[in-house]
Amino acid sequence: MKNLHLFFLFFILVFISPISSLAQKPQGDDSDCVVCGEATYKVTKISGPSLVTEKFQTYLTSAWAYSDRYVWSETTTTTLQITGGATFDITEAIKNQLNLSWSKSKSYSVAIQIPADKNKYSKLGLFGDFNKYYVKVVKDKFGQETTSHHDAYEPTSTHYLKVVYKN
Amino acid sequence: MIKKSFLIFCTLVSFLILGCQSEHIKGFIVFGKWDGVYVAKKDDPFVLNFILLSDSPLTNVTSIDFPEISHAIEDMQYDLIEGDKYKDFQLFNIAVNLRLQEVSSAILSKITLIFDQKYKETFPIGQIKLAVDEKGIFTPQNEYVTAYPNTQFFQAKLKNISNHTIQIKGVTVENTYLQTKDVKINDKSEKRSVSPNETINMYFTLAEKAEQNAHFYIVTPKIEYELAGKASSTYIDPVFYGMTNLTKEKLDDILKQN
Repeated sequence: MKNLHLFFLFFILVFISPISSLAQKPQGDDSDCVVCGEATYKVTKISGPSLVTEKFQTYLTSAWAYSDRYVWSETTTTTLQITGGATFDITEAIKNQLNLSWSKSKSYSVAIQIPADKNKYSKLGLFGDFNKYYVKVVKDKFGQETTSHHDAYEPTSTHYLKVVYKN
Repeated sequence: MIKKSFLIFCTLVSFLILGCQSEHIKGFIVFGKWDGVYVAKKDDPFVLNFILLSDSPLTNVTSIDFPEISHAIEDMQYDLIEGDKYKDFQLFNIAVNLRLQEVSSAILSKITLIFDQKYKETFPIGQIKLAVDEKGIFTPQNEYVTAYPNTQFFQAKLKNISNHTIQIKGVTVENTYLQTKDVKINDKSEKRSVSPNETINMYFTLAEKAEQNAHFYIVTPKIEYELAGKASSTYIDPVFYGMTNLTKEKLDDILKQN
């Protein structure tokens, strides 16, 4: 019976402990850290907001086509855009600390048809007005600071549909 | 005497039943009002959108008609597109593609809905003027905004695709409630000449002429120009205003106008 207890303890030490420590090991850029934990971010607004008009958001049709009209049937949504290779954590920090909107979509929607010049290759694109901020982000991980700068484009409710021609 | 009374009674009951039936078929329907100018070009279909609110699903709409131009319609296709719900009403768009037998100036102010292939009801839709133009002189370059949220401004890059150098004298719109203001060509307000294949940047703001206004606009800018001393004009591609911005206030205003 004593042997059985000893075997059970040995089993826990040899197999369960490494598995449990593996499960706790953080993913991503923390995988090589010696002492693991969460980084903190301090976001400072350097300038803004300044209005940027008719900024490209996305194409609503995939391929170039000779089309005499487009049907736009989705709810127009423009989303927060951060430049300068911002990670998800940095994007979240900028959004939360500066209290920026993640997205602006219309209140009510019905599909509409939009005319286009059928003699030219075209696509339908979504554009919007954005509030632009220039921000500094300091990432602190156990005393080690990394600074980065980004442009943050906060969406407004002003959207445009453009027929983009391939000239 | 009894027979006569019975006949009158039957007639009254029939009227009542028919009246109720017709009302039941139609329900409550109200269209957003347009102030638009659309240029008809030969062999090019029109793309029009009629946005409406209805308290019924409109499953019994079997066809549509435009009484003012029905004689001239060569081909018409329409889609009844269901949108979001607003209060107790359903938002719809009747998206129409029209091709006319002959291109002529006309005014669209009414749309007729035909229910169950029997009952007709005509609704006001504001006013859309159909203007006539031959091949345009200016064509959009790169990007062309075809749907603006509000009547704030117009901006486009346009290329002179004619073989002539033309003198631009002015830019106007023929809408009932709108007029152009602060017209600028390449950031300058003075008149200027445009050579063949030259691209210009046109910008203007729009001002309301009166307190009255429409829910939706089609703006088709008209360029007045001079060629070899002769005055002429040409239209550029139509632009929709107000359709991508269906706010609560706008939908309430559409309901109120009924």
